[in-house]
Amino acid sequence: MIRIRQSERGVALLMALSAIVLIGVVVAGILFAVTQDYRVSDNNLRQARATAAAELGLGRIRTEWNLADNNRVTGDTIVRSYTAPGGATCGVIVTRLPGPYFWVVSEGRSGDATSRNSARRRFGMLMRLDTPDIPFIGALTGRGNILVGGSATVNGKDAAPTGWPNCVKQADIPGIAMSDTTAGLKLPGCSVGKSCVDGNPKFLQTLAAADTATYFVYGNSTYQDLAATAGVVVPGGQTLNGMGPSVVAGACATSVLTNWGDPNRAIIPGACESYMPIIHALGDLHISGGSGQGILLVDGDLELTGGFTFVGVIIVRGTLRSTGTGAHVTGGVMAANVDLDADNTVLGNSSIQYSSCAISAVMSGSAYPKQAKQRGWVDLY
Amino acid sequence: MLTTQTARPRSAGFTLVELLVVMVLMGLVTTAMVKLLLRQTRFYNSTNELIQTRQQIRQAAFMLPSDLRAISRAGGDIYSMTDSSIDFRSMFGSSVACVINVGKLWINTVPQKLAKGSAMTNWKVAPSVNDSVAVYDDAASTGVRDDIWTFHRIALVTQVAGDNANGCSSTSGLAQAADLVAGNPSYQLTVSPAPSKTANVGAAIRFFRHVHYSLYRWATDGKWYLGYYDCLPNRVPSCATIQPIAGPLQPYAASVTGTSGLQFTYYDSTGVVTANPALVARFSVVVRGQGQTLINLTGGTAVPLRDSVRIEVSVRNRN
Repeated sequence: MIRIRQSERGVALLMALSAIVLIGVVVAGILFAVTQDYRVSDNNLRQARATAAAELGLGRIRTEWNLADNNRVTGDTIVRSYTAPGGATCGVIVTRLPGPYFWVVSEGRSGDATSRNSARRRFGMLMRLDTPDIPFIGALTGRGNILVGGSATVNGKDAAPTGWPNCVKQADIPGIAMSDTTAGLKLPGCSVGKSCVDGNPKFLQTLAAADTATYFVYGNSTYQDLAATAGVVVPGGQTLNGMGPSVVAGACATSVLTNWGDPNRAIIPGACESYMPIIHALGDLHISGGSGQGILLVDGDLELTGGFTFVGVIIVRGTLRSTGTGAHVTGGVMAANVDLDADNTVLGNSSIQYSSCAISAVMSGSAYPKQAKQRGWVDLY
Repeated sequence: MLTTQTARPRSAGFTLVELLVVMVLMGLVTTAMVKLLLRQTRFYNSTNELIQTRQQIRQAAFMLPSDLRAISRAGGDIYSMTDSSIDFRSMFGSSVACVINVGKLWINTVPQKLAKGSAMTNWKVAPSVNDSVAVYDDAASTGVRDDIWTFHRIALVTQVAGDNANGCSSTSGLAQAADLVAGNPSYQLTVSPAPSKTANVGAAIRFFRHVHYSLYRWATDGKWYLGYYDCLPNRVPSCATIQPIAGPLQPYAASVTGTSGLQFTYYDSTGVVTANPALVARFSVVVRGQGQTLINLTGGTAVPLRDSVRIEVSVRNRN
């Protein structure tokens, strides 16, 4: 007899399905919590990276500042990009504003910019050129005696350096400023008409010329501050011959000790025309021939010979001597005569010509931008 | 006679014992399932509560640094500060002056959209009448030391579109002709008092409001929240009613207890705690959140959820 086996009914499938659903619910719950935490952590990480990258951009643009950018015209932009640790990137746009200002926008990004999994932070910073206010009382200001002889000239009437465009004439200043123009000023060769000195007036006797602060304190800055930012440092006791611009592969070779920029203004601008270094001589300095521009700070005595041509500012802690074919300085000269042991002498064929334009250009051309006071930094949205 | 026996079909069924065994087993399984489901529901609710609480803490932790970072201590931006509240000038926008007309009391902004991407004008909300502006004044010297910010109230806001001298012209160099179109106006701000004569085109503009953040108890539910209000001169009343913007947080307690829902500590540049607003170089903000319900993640006793975050904010405008 064949026994027909009938189906055995049970709940195994039901139980299995229930278990699967149950386990699914548990797993989904855990996944939900884990996914939330992961997303939050990931977002926070990306935000932090983007923020750090944006900050990095603001920092790098200052430390890598090129002084030639000081002379850009309003509206010009400088675009840089940087990569931060962790793969975040940063794009920086610097816009030249009128006056001494630059506006910097730094945008940090982390993650894939094309997807939703990315973060962006943008910061802005107003920078301004921090230009020292050097008080030029005269074209030549001396704390000690001054001797102008031969065919040398000192002129306080404002004039632009030869070939320099966009210079607007400003007020004239005295030719020579010193504390005692009676006994301290010697003008052999032009003592009658005093034609070797010009200005408004030709001579100024002022106690300010006897004050060392006039030579070493410039409003918001000092001689030491300026010297600390010098791009060219010359050891004491040096004689430098044949100063002149040096161009390598079309770029101004600023590491060359005898390259102090190019004071000539050509129709097609030379590579070193915008290079106006601060030069700091750590002791006595003798320069013979050539040309340069910028701010020359000399800790000792300065001797100029060989027709050296300079546009800008010269400040000497010791004594100034310009002899023979001398030097031709357009800008302003101050000699502090800290030892008061010798006369400042401007002899031979030397000339000192006051130029507000030259002073202004080298001041702003050699100043590094700083974050503007109080509210320079802003969060951009 | 052969008798034919018909096979009796087997009657399907369970014995009592089988039934009892099945019922017991099913009871055990069902109990286990219900227990698991209840635990899962508790876990889900607790996790949700945790997420909500942390979200509130994060919200507070996100808003405060964003506002605090731009404070200028030297510029007197902090009006008052305690361990649970702070009043300060909150920057909500920045711009660059395209025109400054001292006689007509005008300051015109550069338009917001610039093809070069310079983002000179940028704000959370567009400035309106009675908002305040600070304008960078270059002053007399060529250096930074004597520079100042002058403060003005906005008396009128007029949008000027196009390339013309009443707005922001392309001759300024700050915007190109293609930027100066309808829909991308310059904002002409008539301000009081008049702009400084030594503030020049290119000067930076900052838009700000007096804002207040504090830990406060909301009357509606009696819980503690991070509260916020702003103040505008010439508005009546000058300061808005305080509103909760994140929470609930733990109730206020003296800072030494380390349990307060919002705790500010102020440090100077040497890392020493200071009470002088002009010396603040860093803020330490602790936000302690409190869940709205009890949570039970482990299956033990349900407890109130408490979580906290500590944020260190270094001010960027120290000089």
